[in-house]
Amino acid sequence: MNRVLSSFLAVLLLVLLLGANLYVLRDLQDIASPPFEPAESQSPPFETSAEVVRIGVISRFAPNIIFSGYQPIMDYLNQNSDRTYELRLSTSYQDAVDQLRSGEVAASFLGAWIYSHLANNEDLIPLAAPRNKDGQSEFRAILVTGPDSRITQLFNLKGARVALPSGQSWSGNWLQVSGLASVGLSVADLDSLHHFDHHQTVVWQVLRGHFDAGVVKASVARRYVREGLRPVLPSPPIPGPPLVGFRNGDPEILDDIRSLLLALDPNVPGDKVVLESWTPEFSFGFIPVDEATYMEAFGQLEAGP
Amino acid sequence: MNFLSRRLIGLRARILFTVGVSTSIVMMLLSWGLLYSWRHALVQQEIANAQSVSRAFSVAVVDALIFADQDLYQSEGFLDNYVMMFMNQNPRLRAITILDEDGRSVARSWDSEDPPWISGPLPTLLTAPAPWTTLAPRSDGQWVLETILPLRSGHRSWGVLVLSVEADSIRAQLRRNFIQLALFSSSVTSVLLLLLWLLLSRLLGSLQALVTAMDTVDFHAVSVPALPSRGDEIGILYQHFHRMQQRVEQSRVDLLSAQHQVWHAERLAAIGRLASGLAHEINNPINGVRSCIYAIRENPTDHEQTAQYLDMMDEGLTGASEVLRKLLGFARKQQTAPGPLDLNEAVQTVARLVSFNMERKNIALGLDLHAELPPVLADRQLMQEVIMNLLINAIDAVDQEGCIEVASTVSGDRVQLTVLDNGAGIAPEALDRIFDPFFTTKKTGEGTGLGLSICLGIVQASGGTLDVVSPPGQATCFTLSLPVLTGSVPEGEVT
Repeated sequence: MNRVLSSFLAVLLLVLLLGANLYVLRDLQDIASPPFEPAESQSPPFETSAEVVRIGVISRFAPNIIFSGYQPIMDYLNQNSDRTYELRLSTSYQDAVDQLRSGEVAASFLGAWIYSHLANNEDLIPLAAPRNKDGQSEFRAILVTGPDSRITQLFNLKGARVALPSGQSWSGNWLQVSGLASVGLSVADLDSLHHFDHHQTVVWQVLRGHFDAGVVKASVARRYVREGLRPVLPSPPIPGPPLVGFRNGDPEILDDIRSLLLALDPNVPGDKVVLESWTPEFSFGFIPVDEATYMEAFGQLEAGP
Repeated sequence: MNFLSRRLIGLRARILFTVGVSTSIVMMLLSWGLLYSWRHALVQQEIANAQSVSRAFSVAVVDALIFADQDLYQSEGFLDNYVMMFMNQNPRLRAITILDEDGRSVARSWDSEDPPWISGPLPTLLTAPAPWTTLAPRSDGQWVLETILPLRSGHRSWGVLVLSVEADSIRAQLRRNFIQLALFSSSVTSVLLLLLWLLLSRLLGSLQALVTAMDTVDFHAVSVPALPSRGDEIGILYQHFHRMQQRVEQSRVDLLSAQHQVWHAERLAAIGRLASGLAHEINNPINGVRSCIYAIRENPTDHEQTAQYLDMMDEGLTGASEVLRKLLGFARKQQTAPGPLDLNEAVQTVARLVSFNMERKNIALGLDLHAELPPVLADRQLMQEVIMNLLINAIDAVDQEGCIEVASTVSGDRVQLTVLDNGAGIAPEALDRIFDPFFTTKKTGEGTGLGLSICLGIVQASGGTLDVVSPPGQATCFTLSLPVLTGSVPEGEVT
């Protein structure tokens, strides 16, 4: 009897072990996750308004980079205004100016160079410009090279292939206006000089070795140091790229934009959180600028030493 | 296969089964833990891969959507072509669907199914902070890993990318892992059981050798054979068993020595109890001799009378000498050895020896001895001691002018000798302990309490039994039973 009971228990145990393994094998293959069930409603981060205000950006970067850099500013304006602000891209620097003058956009993030060199720019009003950590609005272009380049100063550019961004930007004109002349060179001393649409394009061309050197915005150069880009020499400072409004535009809108942007103080904790979520170029907020600042700065540079 | 072997095999089977089941359970639990960990890691890895692919794919999609939104580029057909090319380059992709911010399909692969949650307004997924991933079987039974990635720039939403990757390979991988682990566990368990079986065979073989040695050990042997020496615990067990054998042998020798001493003492005690009767038997001829000497001195010239008295003196001294010779013959310590024995003759020898004691109490001794009593195998000296003890006990128990009957019979293959007296019998409470060593009902100094205990030992050593029946207040009957000696007995050897 004992032997029969032992045998029965042994067989039962083996069956249980086998069954447990089969169960595990089946359960193991059941990798289903909970189905996607979107919430019925979720409050949008801000109320949308029927009045849509478009703000332009010169085409200094690729569209997706512009959106990732400037859309947070639109989100901030939308959260703190009754209006709905949207970005409007342009195909070129001149296209951005045309959008402004045509009223397609209420304001536009232009470059310091193009703003300063527009003929008859009396119809444009600089509203604000990015502030740096010292509280100034200052902008520099930087001569950059690849990691193994022999170029360590401007003089080494003789016979070099140089990549530049738009010819309507300070970075695209520094060398020709004052940089090369400061070391006794001219454009003719270079092997070649080529303008690209975007600053990032210049960086890629230099890093890939297609060009010996290039000039880009300092904020862009900092971003690619880890990829091997080597900053060589900064340009003299110029006022930061202004957000420009059309003089004949809706003054309430321009005032709304300017007041909201100037209201951000990096020393205020709440504002600091907002600013730190923005691209580094705008992470210290904005300061007011005027036309005279730009005219004076470029006048001195182009007059030469 | 003997009983011991079956027991050892049963023990080995039980150990193997227990260890096998325990190992299997432990290995299974470990395997299950590993498998579920692997499943988690595998699924998480697949999800991370799918999300990475989705994010990589979405970069160009967002660009295209931005271009289309900003009227910067004629993007007609661009996304559809992009989806097809991407699908062709990634065989594990099952479907891609791109929805705009209003939930409209912008581009999709041919076999894409509308996600079940696309109904009515686009869900708030557009503002979700991270991609959502689901794992589930499709309507055709094929498992897919679906990544739902909101396409956004800041708070600006461009739509949703739904990318489905086949997930049957995950389940196949899990099945393979299960089988591999099951095989591994089975192999480990099998190797473990094989090693255990070899170890148990060696161990139980040693135990079996020990058990066999225990069964076959001869305690009458002069020397104890040693088991093979080993350097492990079994060897220690062997050594201890060998020492125990030696101690048992020494104890047996000591016990036999003590028994001989006790038997000798008891024999001397019996002689002491005979002494009074013997003294009387010797005194009578001595007194006769003294009377003869006195008569001879009174009338020394009567040579005829002197000659007659000298004959009488010689007869009396010869009788006394005979009595003393018999006593010395009984008391002398002799080397004992079993041999064919005529029980009737032993009874008659002892009866003559105790006749003096019985005459003093006027006890009538009746002998009813079987005429053709077969011999038994026993030591003559020891068996005479047994009979002596029984007769003396009977004499002590019987009052003046009592009666003792001794009879020998044959019952089957046994010879029986009964000693019956008409004494006062034995009390029931004493009857159960009458063969216990040092138990006596006599006064202090009159008995050692070892007589019947020694008798029982002698009888049992000869393969016999000694029983007593004593109804209270009536007679007492001791029955001695010995097996008949089988086989031919050489002429003249029966004593």
